[in-house]
Amino acid sequence: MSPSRRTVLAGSGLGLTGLLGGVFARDGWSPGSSPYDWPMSRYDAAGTAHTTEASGPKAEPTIRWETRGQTFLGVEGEGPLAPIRVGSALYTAGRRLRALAVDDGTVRFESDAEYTTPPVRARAEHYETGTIAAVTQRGIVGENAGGGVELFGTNYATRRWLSNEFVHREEQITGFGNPRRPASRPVPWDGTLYTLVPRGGRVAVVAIDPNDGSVQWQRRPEVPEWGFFAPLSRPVFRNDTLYAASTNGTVIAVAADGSTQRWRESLDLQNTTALTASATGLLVPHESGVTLLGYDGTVRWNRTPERSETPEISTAAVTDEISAVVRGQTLYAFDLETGETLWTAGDCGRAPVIADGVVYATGTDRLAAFDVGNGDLLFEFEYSDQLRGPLSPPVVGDGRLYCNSYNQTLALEGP
Amino acid sequence: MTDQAVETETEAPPETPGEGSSSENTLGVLSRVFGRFAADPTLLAPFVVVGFVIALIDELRRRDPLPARSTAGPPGEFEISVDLFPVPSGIQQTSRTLGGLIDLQPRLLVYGIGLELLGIVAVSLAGYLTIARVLDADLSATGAGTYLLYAFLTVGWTWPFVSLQVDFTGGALLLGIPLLVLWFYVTVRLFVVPAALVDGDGVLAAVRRSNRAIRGFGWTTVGVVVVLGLAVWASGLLPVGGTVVSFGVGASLHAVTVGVVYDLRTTSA
Repeated sequence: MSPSRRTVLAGSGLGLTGLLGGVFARDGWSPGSSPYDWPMSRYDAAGTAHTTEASGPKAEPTIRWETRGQTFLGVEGEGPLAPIRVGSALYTAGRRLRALAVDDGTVRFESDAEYTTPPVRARAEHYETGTIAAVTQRGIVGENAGGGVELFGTNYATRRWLSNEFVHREEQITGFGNPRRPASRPVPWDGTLYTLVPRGGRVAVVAIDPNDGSVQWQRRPEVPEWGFFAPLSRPVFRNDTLYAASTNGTVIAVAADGSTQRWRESLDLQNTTALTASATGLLVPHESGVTLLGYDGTVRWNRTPERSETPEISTAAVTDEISAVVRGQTLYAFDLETGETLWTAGDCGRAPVIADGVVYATGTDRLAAFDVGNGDLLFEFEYSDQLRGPLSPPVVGDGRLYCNSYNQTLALEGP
Repeated sequence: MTDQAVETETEAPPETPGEGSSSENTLGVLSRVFGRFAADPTLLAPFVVVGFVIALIDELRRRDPLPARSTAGPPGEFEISVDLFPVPSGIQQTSRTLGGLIDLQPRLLVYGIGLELLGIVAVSLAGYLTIARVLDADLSATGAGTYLLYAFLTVGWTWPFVSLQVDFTGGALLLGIPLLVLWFYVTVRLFVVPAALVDGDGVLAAVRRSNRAIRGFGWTTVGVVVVLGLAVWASGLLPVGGTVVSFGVGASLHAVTVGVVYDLRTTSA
């Protein structure tokens, strides 16, 4: 008796009784959408982590609510995964997917699985609610953003699909001490979900339909080698082109429909992490600093900050003028045009985000906010739960800021 | 019971009902089943037709924009499995999940539910016709409707139970073994419910009659369930035409066996 085969015991493969009951009992809750949506951890498919539509606290905030119960797998090697915001809901992914009400933190629904990336919201045209996707050890999972069917206070049938036909058991992304996973963080772009998967020492780009999880196409770009997959790796998009970087400094540009590989550039860089697509080029963070690569594949500038004890570097947040990146514990703001260092700040740790002229950066038990123009410290917020550790990169909007500690989700608001 | 069944019994060596008699051990039952097929190969026809219908449904599920999952295990993994359903059925190559249908746009929802209903109606009709032919029972719309109701109810009943078992690993096996025993017990006790329905019983009466009929015949039925379940599983493995073979052979075998066991037990009781 095998579990996989037993799943088809249901004759037609489906509990029709449950189905009809479920359809009619559906409570119709949907998170909807709002001007403050933050549908993926780096805000948009370019990975800018920057919005002018939303703003967060600009002075010493207070806790509006905190909700326990989520736990994280520590998959990024640096702490809890960032939440996302869609309409009236905040979604977090860890040992379960949780939807919390943004106003008071009450749990709208939960779905159990071991998620190893932050969630992303993808529009699914065949459904009345969006799809929330995240990577598990078995593949990429698509969940109903509305939580499926609620019966007696519990949600059922939250999962729409598991997409795993691209999974090769022997080829997984691993980090130091992190659970294995078969694919990079997925990124939604123009109605399709994209992910990078290891394939024969190189990389494959996989395009997935967010409606049913089917693989639309897979392409193996021509690259000499890809090295190991950084836990943070993901594709970024600009002007119908997908860009991705290997940890050993190869950057590729592929048409978003998979039809052609536009170019490939091998830079002499080490430990490159995820790219950010800015107005002027691709920000490539690496062990020694940050490089701006033009969209034609030429290097515009390369900045090497002072050496720090740890060469780890975050992915960059970027406005039209400034990029912000954390290397070691130091936050650097670079002029996007020239690469000149504009200001620095200490005691940060994780990838910054920028909203309405404020840079927010989290570190161990700490959140700090800086004026993006001059680096002035606007406020510093200390927070510690029982499990001391870094806070996740935040999500901002509606005057509030949301982030995760190892076992709490927090909403902060300004005075 | 039926004339045909009585003839079969009279042709067999003299026997006494019970676990030890040659006709009522697993091999005896199976040999009667094959005897029925040899005497009447058209017993295969309903489920062969359904096999093509289900193959078409599989193909539609693969091509349409609704989520469908393959019922095959992960690539590179081979596991032996006992697949038996409350009503005779084969293995489909694809299946839907409930979650894939919730919040669908109305037009697609109607299509999705319709496709699932088509499958269950086709499987029920084939099972009803095959078992009725074995029992030489009169066909009736009420009987077919009751059979369909039972198929519908048991599909609904198995779904959450089966879902519990999807991720068995390690420690969860401790939970899995009692569930496995429970699954076998219920499957064995309800084995001839479809035949009782064809014979004119209502659902509850059929459940009671099946339970009575299997009493004292449990281990033989366990053997039959294992053999049939393996046959259904194995017939579904073919990469090409697996659906048609699984239904045409596996489900037909199941349906005829249900009829033969019911005939044997209710005649001898």
